[in-house]
Amino acid sequence: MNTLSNPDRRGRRHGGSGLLVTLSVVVAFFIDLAPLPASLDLIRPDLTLLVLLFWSTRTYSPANVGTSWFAGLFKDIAMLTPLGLHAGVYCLGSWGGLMLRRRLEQLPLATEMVLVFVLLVLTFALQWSVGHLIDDRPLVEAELLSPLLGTLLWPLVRVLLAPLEQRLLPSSASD
Amino acid sequence: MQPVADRDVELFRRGISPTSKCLIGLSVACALVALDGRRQWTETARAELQRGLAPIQQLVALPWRSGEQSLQYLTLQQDLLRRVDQLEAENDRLRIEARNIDLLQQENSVLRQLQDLPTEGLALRRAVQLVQRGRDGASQRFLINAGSLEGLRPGLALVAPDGVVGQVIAVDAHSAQVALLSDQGQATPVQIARNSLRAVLVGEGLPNRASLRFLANNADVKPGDQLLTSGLDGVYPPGMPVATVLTVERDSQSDFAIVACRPSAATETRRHFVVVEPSAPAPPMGRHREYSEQP
Repeated sequence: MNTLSNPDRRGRRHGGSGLLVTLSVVVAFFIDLAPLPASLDLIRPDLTLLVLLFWSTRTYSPANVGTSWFAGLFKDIAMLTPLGLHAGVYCLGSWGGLMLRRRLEQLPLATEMVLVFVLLVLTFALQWSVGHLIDDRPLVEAELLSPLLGTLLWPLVRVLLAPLEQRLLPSSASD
Repeated sequence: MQPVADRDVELFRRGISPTSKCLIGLSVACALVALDGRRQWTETARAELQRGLAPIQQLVALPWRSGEQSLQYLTLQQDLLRRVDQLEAENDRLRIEARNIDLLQQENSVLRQLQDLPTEGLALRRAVQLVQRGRDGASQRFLINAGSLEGLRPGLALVAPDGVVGQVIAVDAHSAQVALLSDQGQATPVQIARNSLRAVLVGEGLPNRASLRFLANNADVKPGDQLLTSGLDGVYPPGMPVATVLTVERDSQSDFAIVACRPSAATETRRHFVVVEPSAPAPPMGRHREYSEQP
């Protein structure tokens, strides 16, 4: 994806670590594609967005807004949503993460989760609003649980991706 | 102050800012959303990209679908096993019902035969049912489900369509004890159907075993002879089948022949009988043939 074809200078500095970041996004993307019963599908948190948020809030991550945009575009294709819907939402979410990057790294986990929740609610609201404007999509109450479940998954995402993050640090890269 | 050339190089190295990237991305996304479905090329592009992603989607869905199918298979198997259990239970129930119907039909047939017994010359006639057989191996006795309150008393005869069964020897209020023809010491006056030769049939105390006593060594009796009630004792109606001669032993040292017989009534398989009492005077001997013609 964009990370590989157009790596930023941090990604280039840490060699093949960008591949691991891309791989984590791809795995999250595949998990999102996995079929679930309709009732569970409504409340399924957007794991791809969570992973993209994680990487956009990490200082030494090569992931950027472009990565998120392309990931969103692939999601639009795979999930048959209007082209550009997920691309725009992921792009905006990733930008939000970048803006919070410095602050998040100094905040405790609970506060970080609150900020992640706000970001997820905003992206959900944007996604639903655009969908509603395009094809008059109704709001199902159960869908509102999705940002909450995503927030609850945030610590798990952090734990799972922390080893990859360690490999992006300059000290470990120079070893 | 930094030279202009250096500033340009620095700006080039930093690239576009995240905010600018976001704005560009959002603009392109909005354009795509607006164009999606309205232009042929977006449809074509989406279809091509979708075709490329389809194998990956199928691959991703494979574990979930396999799990779902395995779960369905297990559920189906459990359902089938449960269904088999239900059907087996239902089958057992139906077999029992069918057996009961067979028994009822047999019982009905026996009752019809009992109903068809000749009534002439009988003062008391009551259908009874076997309650219990004698527990003692040597005892050839029955307990029936009618007693003194139903009009039974000792000395009455118990008969079946295929012949004489025995004699009531004791009664309670609602039950009575019957000694079969084969009960030890049970004596029944009979006559041979073929030649009207009279004799006494005595029980041997063994199932379906009796013998003719006090029959002369040279008496005209042979295996296969049918024995009928003579009616002389006033207990049994005359002319009813009693037994069949099995063997005849003639010992020159003895005055009497040893004649082994088998009672005609199938007491081991039958449950329904009739208690009868011949009315006085006893009917003529000519009725023997009528009884012997019963199936």
